[in-house]
Amino acid sequence: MITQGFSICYSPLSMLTNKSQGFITAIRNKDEKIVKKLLAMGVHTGMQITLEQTFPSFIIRVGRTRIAIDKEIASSIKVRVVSH
Amino acid sequence: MSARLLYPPPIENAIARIEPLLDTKNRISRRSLALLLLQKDPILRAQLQQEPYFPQIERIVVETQSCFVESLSLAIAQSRHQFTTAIEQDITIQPSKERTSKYEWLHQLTVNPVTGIPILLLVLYFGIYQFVGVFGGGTLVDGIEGFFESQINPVVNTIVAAIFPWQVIQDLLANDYGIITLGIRYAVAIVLPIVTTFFLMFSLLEDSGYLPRLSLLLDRLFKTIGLSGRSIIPLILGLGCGTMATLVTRTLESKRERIIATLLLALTIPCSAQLGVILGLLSQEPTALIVWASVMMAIFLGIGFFAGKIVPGNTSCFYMEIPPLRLPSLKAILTKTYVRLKWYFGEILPLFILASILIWAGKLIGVFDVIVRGLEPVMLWLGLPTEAAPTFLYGFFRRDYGAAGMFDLHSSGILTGQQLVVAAVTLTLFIPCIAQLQFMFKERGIKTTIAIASFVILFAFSLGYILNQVLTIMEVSF
Repeated sequence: MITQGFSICYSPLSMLTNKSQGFITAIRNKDEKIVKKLLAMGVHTGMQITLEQTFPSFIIRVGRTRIAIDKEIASSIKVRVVSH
Repeated sequence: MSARLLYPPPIENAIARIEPLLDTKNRISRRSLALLLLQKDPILRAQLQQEPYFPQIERIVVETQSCFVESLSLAIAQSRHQFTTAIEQDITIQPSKERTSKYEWLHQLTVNPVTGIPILLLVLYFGIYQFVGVFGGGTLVDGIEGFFESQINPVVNTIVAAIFPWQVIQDLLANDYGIITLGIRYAVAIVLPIVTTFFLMFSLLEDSGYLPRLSLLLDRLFKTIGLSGRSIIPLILGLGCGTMATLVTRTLESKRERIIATLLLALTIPCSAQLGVILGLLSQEPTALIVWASVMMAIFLGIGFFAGKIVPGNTSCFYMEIPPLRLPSLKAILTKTYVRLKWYFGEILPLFILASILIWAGKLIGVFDVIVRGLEPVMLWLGLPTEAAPTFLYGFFRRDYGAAGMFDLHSSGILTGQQLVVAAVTLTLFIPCIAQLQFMFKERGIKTTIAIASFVILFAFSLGYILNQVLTIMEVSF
């Protein structure tokens, strides 16, 4: 049973609000190079992700790494949101 | 813990099938080669393209791919990541509370647009304008240049005149355009102080971790002109030296971005030597300075916008790791500056000497007089006195030399008000110096370089003409 006040959803990172936290469920981009770059910087499915800022660029924190990405790349990271 | 990393069964199967096909004489293990082939490594594929077994490998890769939703590279990376995470958890202890960096508050201030943009402007104003432009390009250049003019040049002239009785040889080494009196003097008196202060500032910004924050603040703006936040680094370097900046464009992600950045560097970004002289000249007339700055800004954004529409390719993506802010170590900054200066002078000094020789040869055989006479009607067309023609020609050999020539024309009262603004804008836009052109050629190839250079010449003079007409019609007085 799902308790109230706790929601689970899958959403592209670009749609999330500031300070959202969650887990990466998939990384999908038609450009294979971008997926590889994200992997190289340590962004993998299953990892915890925190969205720190959305404007002018997206800033995410994955593990101990902090990365700035644009909207296009942010939309290729799908997240299961745990808290807003 | 087992030392061997096992991939999902379909991948392990594929490896087992590819391995026997490969040559044994390769120094890299066959397992690694098989993995690279599964990840579609372009270099290895190109190497094996001709082999008779290549089609079979292709089939195996396609078959294996059909077992996965995501790409094989992703599946392989995922397995590796899980493996390393397991090792990490085995051997590290997590502190119960994550320790935040000492400068976390500063990070927040620099990346939040509300506080970040003013900080960015302050950094550019004090770091680039005040330190490099005013201190390096003004105070230091004046001091060293004055010392050269008053102490070294007369001595060199006398010694050269004593050794070589021929005027031609004397002019090659000394006097107005000689290798020692012009080439070396430029390198030591004008370029050395400006470039040193610039590289000091740049290394400081680099080591403190500020540059990625600058990039992320400007990424959205730069997307509208076909670039990404990453390009701010070569463009800022361009305010120091366009030649070095053209070289640094190779760090950009796509060919399209490199072409646009090279074009903007060639056309709109004034190098520090040029910037110093133009600011000094125009600051006496605030309106002139404002007109020059707004025209340059508008052209930068306008040309970037159109280039972004015209140059083929996709908009580049922006991603950058943000390192923690750190207090840089002085020793590291000094070492970096020293290494860069050493490289710079190795590349640039021969070109300065070459420029001196070309000016000497050009004057000697009269080619310059022909070009200058050809430029004179263009000057009249821009509403400039014909005396300005040599300034444009020499400006090609050294950008700052063109601006310095303008300074002389202004102090002798030939160039005034409106003409000064038109000349400053046209000279800033006009073709980059010979060194930058050479590096454009090296980095972008002959076709792109010719295309950019012809566009720059045409655009500079047309815009000068239009600006002159507009200022006349609007009756702007300076």
